[in-house]
Amino acid sequence: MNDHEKIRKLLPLVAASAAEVAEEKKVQAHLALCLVCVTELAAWKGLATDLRTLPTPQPSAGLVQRVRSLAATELATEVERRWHKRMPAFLVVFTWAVTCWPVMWWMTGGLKFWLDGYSRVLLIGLVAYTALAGFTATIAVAMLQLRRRALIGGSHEPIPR
Amino acid sequence: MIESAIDWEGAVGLETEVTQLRRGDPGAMSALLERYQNRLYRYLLRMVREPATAEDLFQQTWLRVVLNIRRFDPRRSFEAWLFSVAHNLAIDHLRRYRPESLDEPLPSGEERSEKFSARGASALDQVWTGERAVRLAVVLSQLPVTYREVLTLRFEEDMKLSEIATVLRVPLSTAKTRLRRALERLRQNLESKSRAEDWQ
Repeated sequence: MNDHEKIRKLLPLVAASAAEVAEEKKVQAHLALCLVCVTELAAWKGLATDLRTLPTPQPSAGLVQRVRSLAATELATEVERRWHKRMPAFLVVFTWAVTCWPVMWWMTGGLKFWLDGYSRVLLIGLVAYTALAGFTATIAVAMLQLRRRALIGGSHEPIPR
Repeated sequence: MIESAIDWEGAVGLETEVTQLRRGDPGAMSALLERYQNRLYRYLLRMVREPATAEDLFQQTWLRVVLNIRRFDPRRSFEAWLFSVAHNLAIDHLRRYRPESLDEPLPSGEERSEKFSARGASALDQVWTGERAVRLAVVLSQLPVTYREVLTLRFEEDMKLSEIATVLRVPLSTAKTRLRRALERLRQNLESKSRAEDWQ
């Protein structure tokens, strides 16, 4: 393939503004000497312009509105889904932290200075009660999550139009 | 100067919208939809050629965007990501039908290109009366999908080669070769059509 042929191959890319800088320079240098390629490039540029100015088909207003409302519903579901994922984890951690912190404090002697015998018993009772409530809540949250997953897993329907 | 300021403003606006959508803001979704609705629909229509299918894929694309927006890396181009989502859906759709059937007539016996151009022609009447545009739209719709796609991404979506390569998930050199071949085939077909019309 001679130089002229090589340049001719580059002309569509130059017209599409997709040639590299070096290729562009090579083409420009050749164009100064070759009238055939000048004409050819003009034809490619005309085609490129026609392609750029083709009319744009537009989606119907009904379609856009439908997509908007479907997306809004999906977004709300997604946000709720995220909340449902995070909230139980937070609740479990929080409950156990609230339950364990006084126990740890008490065990390490932190309360000795603050509480007398009676309050200590009261505190232990409170801690035991909270631990039981926390344990029950953890089980309940886990069960709710399992149920929710089972429900979501069974509702993979095609997207409505 | 003014143009670059507008571009910058647009880019910042887009970034904000994407960030807000990641937080689950429906307003941001509306803004993005408004920004890209025509371009995305046009791209899908060029790909699948049937308005009903393009509408279906348009809907699916946006729903997928909503579902996967948190996986999108904000350092990358949202536009390229959006079009690659649409590309994957369109390719999946086209694969479901036999690829060789893409250029066959519709079950009704109607040519796909006729259907496409008929729809385009009504729009053309409103916007552009040039016969050349009608002929170009017809010839473009008759090209293989890989060529139609690269042409619409370059000339209608005004994407750079690197962005086209990202959307198509091909090396830059492949995108470049595909673009050149698509242009050559388009011109060749246009010239054949002109010759055929002159003969008649």
